[in-house]
Amino acid sequence: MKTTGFLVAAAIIGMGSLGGGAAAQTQSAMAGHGWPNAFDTCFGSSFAMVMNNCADSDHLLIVPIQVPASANYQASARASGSVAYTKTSCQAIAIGPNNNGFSFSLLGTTNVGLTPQTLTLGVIGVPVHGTAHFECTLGAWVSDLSGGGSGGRLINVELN
Amino acid sequence: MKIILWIAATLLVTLGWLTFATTRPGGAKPATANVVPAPRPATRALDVASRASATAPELVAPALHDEPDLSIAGQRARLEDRFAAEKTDTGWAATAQQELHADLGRFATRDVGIRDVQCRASLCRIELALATRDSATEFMESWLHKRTWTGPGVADNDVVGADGQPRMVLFVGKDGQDL
Repeated sequence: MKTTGFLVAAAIIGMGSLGGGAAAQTQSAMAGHGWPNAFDTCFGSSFAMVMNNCADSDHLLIVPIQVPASANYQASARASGSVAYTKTSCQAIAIGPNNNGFSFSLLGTTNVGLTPQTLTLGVIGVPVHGTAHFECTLGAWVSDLSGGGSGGRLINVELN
Repeated sequence: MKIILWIAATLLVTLGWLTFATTRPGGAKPATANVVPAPRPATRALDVASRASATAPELVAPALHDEPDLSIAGQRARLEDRFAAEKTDTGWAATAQQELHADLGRFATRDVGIRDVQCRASLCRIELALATRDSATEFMESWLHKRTWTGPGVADNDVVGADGQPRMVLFVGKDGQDL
């Protein structure tokens, strides 16, 4: 009887867990590249995270992300500004199969400081045979009082 | 006792099959998904719609994970309907039009010209004249990298104007409001 009860409970819990829709697609910032220079040497990485190590200006990082099917997706990015003054901004962009159109999210911006934030960017519609990527402008490197410093950082991006 | 065991086993087998079908790439979708291309209400979509309800109570924002036939033209058509139904918030519309003219104007070239910018209460419709379709992609790339307008948008550069010339229609929305 106990076994029966367990089986029924497991089945019911399992069925309930199916209501969440497709799994989230998460991509590390490390999978991205610079723009317009794909091999932008200002970017450095530490595991998933990419940071801007140049003090001259913001630098643009492009992070492609896999999409399992055409659909509307909630886009978000995990990022931080630099140690002071400069911030990181991100947007998600979907592109039609023939470069014939675009769906883009709002442009989200972090605060200054190294505390990672989740930027909720809203919904983008990825069309049939379309692609999606994130564009994040990582704030310029700023020195801190200890002689070190940091630029803007991106950790990962997500379509949900 | 046997009946309960049989029901439990059936539920577990069904659960296993559904898990496999919904997680593998290109996995099975509900049969109805392929025959209902129009957006259907979802919890989040209703939240978004309710935020926009002051000006367009009949409109439903896109549902998540719900459009196997989603296309740029389809998104534009939905926004054309929404734009046509939206009343005008004069104050916001005037400010938004001015802001968009200035923002987009920085990237206008001989090949891409702003023909029209109209805003209503939460949505703006911009029409651009194109020399070629490639000029539209260059324009969008430049603008998206440097834009000051922070709201979301949809652009369709597969449009032909009444004069037979290529056009791009760009819809942009208020910051914080999904299209």
